[in-house]
Amino acid sequence: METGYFTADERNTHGHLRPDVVTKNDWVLNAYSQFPIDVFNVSSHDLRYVADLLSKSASVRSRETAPLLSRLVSANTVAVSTGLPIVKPFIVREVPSRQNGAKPIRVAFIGLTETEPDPPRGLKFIDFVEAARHSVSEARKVSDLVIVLAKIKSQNEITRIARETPGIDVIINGNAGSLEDSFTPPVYVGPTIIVFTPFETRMLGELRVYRSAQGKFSTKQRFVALDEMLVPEDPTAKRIVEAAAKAESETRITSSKSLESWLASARTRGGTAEPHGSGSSPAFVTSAACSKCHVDQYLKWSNSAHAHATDPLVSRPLEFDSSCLDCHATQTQIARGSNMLEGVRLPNVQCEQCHGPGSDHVAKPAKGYGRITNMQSFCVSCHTVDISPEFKLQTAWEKIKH
Amino acid sequence: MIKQLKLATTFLIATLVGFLQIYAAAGAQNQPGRLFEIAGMNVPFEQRVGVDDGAALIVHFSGDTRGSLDVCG
Repeated sequence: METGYFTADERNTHGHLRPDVVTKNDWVLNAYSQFPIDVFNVSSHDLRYVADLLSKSASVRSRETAPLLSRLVSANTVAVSTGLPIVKPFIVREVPSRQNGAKPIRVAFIGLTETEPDPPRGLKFIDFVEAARHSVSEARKVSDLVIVLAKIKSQNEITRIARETPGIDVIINGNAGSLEDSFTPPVYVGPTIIVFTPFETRMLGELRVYRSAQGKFSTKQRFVALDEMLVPEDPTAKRIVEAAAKAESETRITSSKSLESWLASARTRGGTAEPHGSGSSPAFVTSAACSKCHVDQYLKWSNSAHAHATDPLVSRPLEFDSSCLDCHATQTQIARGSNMLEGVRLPNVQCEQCHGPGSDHVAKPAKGYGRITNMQSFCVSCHTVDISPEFKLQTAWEKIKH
Repeated sequence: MIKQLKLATTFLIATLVGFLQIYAAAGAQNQPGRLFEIAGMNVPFEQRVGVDDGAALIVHFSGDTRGSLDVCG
């Protein structure tokens, strides 16, 4: 069983998972397809990666992904639009009885997560206790034993769940945030026992469940040290770990090299009037061409953040992927639908990103070129709620008005 | 001099007893009876995974691995 935070969640400036982090997580899934875990609690930390997986259509999901998705639980993560859980709130497993003729033991595993960090857009967290009460009541109808898998740092909150939710036999909680609080001994809250996952699974948790002749359950908790001195290494696991490390490293190198390559080509073309167009359609001439007539507008632009939109990429090579250029560069007509790494995007957000390609206007400076009819929809294509939550069109326009 | 030594020894013992009482109380609060055991690094591998003691089922649990596939011993 997995109590949560099994994926990495280092994010880029805009809150998206970095390319190397996605690669790392893909390998975690690969590993779990070969060393299966029966039930995964989706914590708030796993949600961005898991939500991306869930949003892909079934045909796109890899062979490794599909079985894992059927083992995810979370009772308090719901879709904003429907209010329904995005994965199963609980899963019931049947364990054959060791006593002759006795019924199998049905164990329900319910998932709960803390509410930080914020969920991705379209999802929300509901109160733990409310979710726990509802799920425990449903799970009790179809199980003999109810176990909550939780990822909740606050000791007060996990205790509150046990105190205010009748019917939970065991809570297994991942509460450790650092080595300092790496081990928390089990505690009883009323009839519910709470056991804690050691930090980073530096010890494997073991919950032993016993059933008396009268059908009553009792438990014993063990924590098993994991070390490379006495615990034999599994050759398959070792191969996966090595391959994962290599893939992660290669992704980092690819990100850095892609950025370097694009910056090098962009530097050579950024300020020139070399046309970038296709066939008979108007070509991009760069802001340098605009400056020849529109001096005031050019000065306003050149002192704006748009004129330096590529700069933030330079210091963040590990975060780079092609989608960064959608908003941190100027897309020429050729770039749309083609490979940006061929070097057809201009650096920074230049005049033509908003006004369109200017070659016809340069050739014949008639009025009517470059009018923007719906500025709001235009600006928010980059200044989205996720990326620029404070963005207000009127305030922003005042800064670049020309 | 002897009087001072006696006084210091008495103070030390009193402090030690007080500390042990506080420690024992904290332990009792966290561990009513014998709630858990640790199979540490000194335990041979075969015994770490545990013997068959008649348990109806065993749940192994992990968490907080944060994308790492390495063993953290």
